[in-house]
Amino acid sequence: MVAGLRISDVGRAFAERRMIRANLLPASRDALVLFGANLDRRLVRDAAGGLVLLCLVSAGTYGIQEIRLTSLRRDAERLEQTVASNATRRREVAATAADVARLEQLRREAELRRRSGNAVAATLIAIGNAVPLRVWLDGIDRSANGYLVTGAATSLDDVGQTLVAIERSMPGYAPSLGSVSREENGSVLHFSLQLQSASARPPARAPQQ
Amino acid sequence: MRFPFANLQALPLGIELGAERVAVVVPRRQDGGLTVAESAVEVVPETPDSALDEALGEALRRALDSLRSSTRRCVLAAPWTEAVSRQFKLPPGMARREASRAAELEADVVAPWPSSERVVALDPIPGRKRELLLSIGRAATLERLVTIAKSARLEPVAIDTPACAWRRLAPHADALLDAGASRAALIVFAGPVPSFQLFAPRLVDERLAAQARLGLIEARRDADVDVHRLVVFATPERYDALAPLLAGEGYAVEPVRIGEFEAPPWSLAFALATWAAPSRSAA
Repeated sequence: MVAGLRISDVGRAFAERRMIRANLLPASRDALVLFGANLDRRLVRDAAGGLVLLCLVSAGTYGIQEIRLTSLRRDAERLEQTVASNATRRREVAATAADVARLEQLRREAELRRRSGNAVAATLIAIGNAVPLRVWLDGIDRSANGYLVTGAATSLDDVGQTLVAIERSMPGYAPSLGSVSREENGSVLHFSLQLQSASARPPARAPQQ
Repeated sequence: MRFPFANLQALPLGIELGAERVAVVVPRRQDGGLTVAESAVEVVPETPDSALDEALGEALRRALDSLRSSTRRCVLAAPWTEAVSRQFKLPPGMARREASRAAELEADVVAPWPSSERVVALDPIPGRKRELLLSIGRAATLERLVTIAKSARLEPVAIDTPACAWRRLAPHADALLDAGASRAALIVFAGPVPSFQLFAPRLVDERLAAQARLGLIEARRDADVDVHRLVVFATPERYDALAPLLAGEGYAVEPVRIGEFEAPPWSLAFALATWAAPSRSAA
């Protein structure tokens, strides 16, 4: 059902001072007198309800934020305590790292020193180790091109084995038989070997066509 | 959970509690107009006065049950004989609290009930800063109305006077003859506060028309008001009988019209429902 009076008609009547209304609702029951003004108790109740609801929402939001803030503060304190408790360990780790670095430096220096020993002594050791059992050396002379090794052996075969052993154990040198002579009684062979450094050897002659 | 202010959006119901019928109107704002969303009228069976309140409450509950609206705020009307209204002039410089005390003194003169048995209300008159509407009602009757309404789970927000309600419904009229009940009333809109004359119950049409003409003549004499447009609220049959009798005296007689309806039985209820409309339309 739609029937009625347009509000504009009501408004016009109101403007023409003919719109009038009374309210005889007993004030003691449904009105609230506040500062001399009669207020609708229900309106006041609803307004108070809205205010309470707003306060509850605000308090809830504040409480949630406060809880989050407290949790974050607790986490921050825990992290600070962890950082503080690890300070000693950090110092120990730093000291250990410094020791490791120092020892590593020593190791590198020792290695360097070990690797940078007397090359002549190493060559002599290599020559001595390469000599077979039935051969003995009389002398090793160092020259600009290499070494001249003199020794004695019981047979020519031992001299050859000495030559092959030195060649195998000293790849940087090219050994060659210098001389072989037998003593007068004929039991010992004296020999000489020329160990020429590979860098000092002249380049190989190209084969002739 | 009821959200605060949610139910304040709806206009309060207009409820007429009469000895012969109970009418409920659910108003609604629509397209800038005030419309009747729903209405219900229940006839109150003839009941002894001692059981009238129960019968009214029962009829009111039946009427509300037939409606779909869940609005429980309502505006009631004080019975014609249980409330009087006067124009109350506010002396310059008088505060509202002093005005209330002065209104109580005025009520001693105007109202036939002692101060302990009456309710006095001062309401503003639109456009008149120094004048107020002084309304006085019998407290017991008003509280009885509130009790009946609350028995139907209603929440009265106002109790208006029928004269003010009819004034809002027929703002263009000079007078209104309410012949919708067994006891008719003539309201003359002479000044800012309407005056009314209550007739004897169950008058025949000729007698009622004669008394209404006499009342209009007295109004012209006493209040110096020239009544031209007379609006009549009555059943169609009674209006057809009254209109020629009144029009013969030169009055422009017309029935109460609400939209496309002529004098619907819920007219006073709709007039009461407009109680909450001026606050917005005046803005």
